Amino acid sequence: MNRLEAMDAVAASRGDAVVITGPGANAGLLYDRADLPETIYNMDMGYASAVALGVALACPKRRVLAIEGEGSFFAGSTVLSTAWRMKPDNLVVLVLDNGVWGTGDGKEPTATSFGLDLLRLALAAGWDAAQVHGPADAAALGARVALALKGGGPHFIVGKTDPSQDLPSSSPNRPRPKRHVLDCAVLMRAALSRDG
Amino acid sequence: MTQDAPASLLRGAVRAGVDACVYLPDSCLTAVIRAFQKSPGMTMVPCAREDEGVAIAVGLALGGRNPVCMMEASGLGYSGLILARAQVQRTPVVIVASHSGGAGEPFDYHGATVLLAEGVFKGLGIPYAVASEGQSLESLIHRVVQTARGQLTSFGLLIPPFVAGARQ
Repeated sequence: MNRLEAMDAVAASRGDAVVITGPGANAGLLYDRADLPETIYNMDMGYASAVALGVALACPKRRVLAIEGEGSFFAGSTVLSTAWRMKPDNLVVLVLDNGVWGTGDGKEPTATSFGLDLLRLALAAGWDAAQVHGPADAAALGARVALALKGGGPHFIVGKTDPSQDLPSSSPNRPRPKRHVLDCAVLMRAALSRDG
Repeated sequence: MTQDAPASLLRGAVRAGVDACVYLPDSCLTAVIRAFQKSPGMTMVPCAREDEGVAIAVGLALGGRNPVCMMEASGLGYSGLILARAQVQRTPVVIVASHSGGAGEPFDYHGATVLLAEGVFKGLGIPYAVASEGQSLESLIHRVVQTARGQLTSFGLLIPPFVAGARQ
């Protein structure tokens, strides 16, 4: 699958989940396809999953989804151990792994292009195998995200994507969220405060 | 030490509505962390890195909780980016960190920690206070949390080892 197919599937499966995206293309694609007030776009590199963990702990009645590229996720991957230690059943961490950094010309390989296996990293961090998923295509990815968002978490999902059709970060055609990060935080806080 | 620092900090924090504590163990703050762990209703989140902990606190705050982060001030060095993000999006995070740039730092291996403790807050324009002997820690942390929540700003509270009650 490519990034567009993956994000189409994820957007269709989002429901009313709180979402924290990492930096880069996934943020704009989610904004285009499934924007909700309960969304933080372009969280700084390495922190989307940790922020999502905090929201999940604060709001146990909410489903919470982190969406990160593998470059960002690996930079903050210590959160794997903390998420497993805390085990919020409403947390889903999704990594879309295209094997390259999504910045510059999009051709700089990331660690997963040299053997890093994020699924095995989760297992090494203590996760039960039943909570760690590697769907093979977009349909399986969408189904897995939808199922994971029903509960029984935490879940860790890695979707491998083909970067050959990804737009470079400098492309004017790459969608970007049209909401300031401050407004995102205000909207999310307001939306979650209505939960009581 | 003229007061029970752990009990004072806990009382002030609870009075200010603090209901969660993200922390990385630290020798100076061990007794404080243990006091928070024993506090009914306090969500305790041990993290693996200080910047990860600040990010978790950002999420807790977005979700309506009122967290503090506890760490040795060395962890502030990792946390610049996520603290900056918290400021940009006006999500307040209260940091309680041991050590400061002031008196009472006898050990050379704390040199880097001492150098950056106040520097990170100054560089980001984040308000901070340095606790001192004779000052009520209960009142200080209460006021720190008040300002963080009222002004939607992160706020640092630096606690020198001798104020925290650490032996040296």
